[in-house]
Formats: sequence, C-alpha cells, structure tokens
Amino acid sequence: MKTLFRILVILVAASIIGGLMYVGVNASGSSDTSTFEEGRRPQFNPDGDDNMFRPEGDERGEHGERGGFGFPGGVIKALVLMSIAGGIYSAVVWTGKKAKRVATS
Amino acid sequence: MSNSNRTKLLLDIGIFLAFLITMDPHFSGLAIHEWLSIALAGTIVVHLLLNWEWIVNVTKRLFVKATNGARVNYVLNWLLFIDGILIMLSGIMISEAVLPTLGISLPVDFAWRRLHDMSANLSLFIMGLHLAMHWNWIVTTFKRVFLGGGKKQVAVAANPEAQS
Repeated sequence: MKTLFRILVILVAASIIGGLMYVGVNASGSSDTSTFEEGRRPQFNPDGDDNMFRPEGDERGEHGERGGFGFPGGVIKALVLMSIAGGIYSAVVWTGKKAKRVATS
Repeated sequence: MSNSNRTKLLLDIGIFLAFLITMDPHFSGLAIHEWLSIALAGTIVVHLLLNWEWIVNVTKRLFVKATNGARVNYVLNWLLFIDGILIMLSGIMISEAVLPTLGISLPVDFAWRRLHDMSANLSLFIMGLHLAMHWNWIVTTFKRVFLGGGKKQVAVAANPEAQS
C-alpha cells in the first residue's frame, strides 16, 4: 500500500510537470509549423517508408534511425559528454577542498 | 553488503546501460529506442522508490540542516527528473513506433522534435554530474558486489548522504 502511494506520488508529480510543459509548449506558439514552406511540409507516416521526412535529414548512412544496429557514435558522444560533466564537477570539488585546506592552515 | 545496495547497484547499472542505448537511436533502431525508453521510465520509478527514504529525509530538512552537498544533489535530482519527463513527453509526441503500434497517431510537430533533442543533450550533462556526485558510492558498492571489497568500503557505501 505504501509503495502504491509512493508510485502515485511520483506519477502525479510527473503528470503535473508534463502537463505544465505541454501547456507551455502549445501556448508559446513554438509548435507552430508555419515556418515550413506551404505545401512542402511532409505528412506523418507511421508506416515509415524510406522517403519519410526527418527534420534532421536522412543523411545518416545506411543504418538510419529506423534501421538495425549501426555505429554507436551517439553512445560514444554520450559517454564523452558525461565524462566532461563529471570532470567539471570533480574539478570544482577539488578546487573547493583545496581552498578550504588553505584557509584552515 | 546489504541486499538493498546490491539491488540499487544492479538496477542503476541497468538504467545506465539502457540510457546509453537510448541516447543513440541510430545505433539501436527507432523501435528499440522508443520501447526501451518506456521501459527505462518504469525502472526510474523503481530507482526513486528504492531511494525514497533519502528523498523524504532531504526534503524535510532541505532548508534546515541539510549539507550543501545534499542540497546540490537534491536540486540536481529534480532537474534530472524534470528533464527526464521532458524527454519522455517530447518523445511520445514525436513517436513513430510506439504510438502507431498502439493505434494512436499524432501530427508531426517539429517543436517537440527540437525539445526532444535539446532535453536529451541536457540530460547527458546532468547525468554526468549525477554520476560524479555518486561516484564514491558506485565504486565502493561495485567493488563490494563484484570484487568482494572490505568492511570499510561498505561503511562508505552505506552513507545515506551519498545515495539518492
């Protein structure tokens, strides 16, 4: 029962935040698609044939998002970016500790 | 080593690996990207449930006697949670595999696409900070679970301030 209540709290918090975001995005007008040339905006195609438009382009090589396993460039990028963030944090903590040590000595 | 820490570590390793795979839809393919992301959302709920005591404790003493480290950690966790919701919401709005499978179709909206990319990139930075903040716990618990580390490491791993 306690766990169910906790799950409910998490889901309610997520729903409130998600709802606010949804309202915010729609209200901001940033979801307006009129920036695309009239008549050229492609239609959504759930079957996903090869001609399906992707906003970032389709120049992804033979293994597109829809395809099978390609080169894990995104995984490597993710690891590198996370390492940089972790390195920045470690540097900040290290500098803080060093300054504290100097101040106390 | 408590079973709780072992469970947390194994779950967190699973979440991390799934997070990495979902960060590269060109590697996994769109269908795996979307279904795995939904599964990831479920495991993150379990991750929060396993660390519920920490969340409640820090929330109660956030403005009273929490350490600065715990406060930063708390704020960072909220940012990660909010960013995760944004990723999921925008991902659902541009879904091309899950929603069509469920018989739901939404119009293409490039604002959501941009938001999805931006929030995913932001999550990498926040996740990096999240991992760095818990690095001591990860290393000590990992050693204990997989390499049979000593009691001293367990004491560090059991530090509630380092867990979230």
